[in-house]
Amino acid sequence: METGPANYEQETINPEHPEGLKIKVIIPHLVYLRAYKHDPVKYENLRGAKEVLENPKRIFWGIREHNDGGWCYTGIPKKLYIKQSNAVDFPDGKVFAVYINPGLQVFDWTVEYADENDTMCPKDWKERYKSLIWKNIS
Amino acid sequence: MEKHFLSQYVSGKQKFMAEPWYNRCGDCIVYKTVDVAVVSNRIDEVLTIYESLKTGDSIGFKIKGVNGIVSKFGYDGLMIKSKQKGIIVQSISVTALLLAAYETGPMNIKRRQAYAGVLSSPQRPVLEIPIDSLQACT
Repeated sequence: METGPANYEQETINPEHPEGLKIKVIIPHLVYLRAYKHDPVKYENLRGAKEVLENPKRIFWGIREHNDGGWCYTGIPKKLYIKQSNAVDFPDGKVFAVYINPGLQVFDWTVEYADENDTMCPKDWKERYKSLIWKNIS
Repeated sequence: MEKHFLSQYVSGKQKFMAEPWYNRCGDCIVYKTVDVAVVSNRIDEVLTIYESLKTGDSIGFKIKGVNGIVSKFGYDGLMIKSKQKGIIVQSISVTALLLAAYETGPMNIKRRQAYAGVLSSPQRPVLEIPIDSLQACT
């Protein structure tokens, strides 16, 4: 795992032991700096990623065919930035997904279409991920 | 607007850039043409289309598992050589990468339309990624 003072550590549920102690995942400097400099709306929506990591509703394992492991945390943040200085209520029918690689680095955060039967899951999640490993039932 | 939790770690001018970027922490190439909120519409294991949240228009894409595709097809079939200031820069063609990805998946209308849409977009310039940037996170 890359380390360094500029990498941001975010506490979240341990995907391997969801009922155990929380862990820290990394938001790598190179990832958030690129968003800050060249994709400003995405940078603003890192706020939503932080909210989801603090309060995930679902955790999926096995997110890629060509890359082993990795997790997807999903949830619904309060706001979504549609422009750099314009946030709106998070839209209906969508879910926010935060992607973490096997090295516990956050590499992406996106808005996705929600599953019709479980709005906390991305559409087609059964085909996309190897398994749903944790579900917030509170 | 509430202060961003990463504001102490970033500085400098922000300027949206519509150019492909290899995210080595996610082993993916992202390309977005407009600085707005997007919904990620997953087409298959490799291709995700970015749709404008407001209009639904396709405004970019993500190619996932880049090193997996390169391993399978080799650089030879994907490479472009270009000269810059007397130095030969070797890059891979994003178009060739997309065509290679299309070959690997099931043939169906959804995929055909999505890949054709990405490849035929009139605004899209020639996209390439330098080979030396294709190093996944350790």
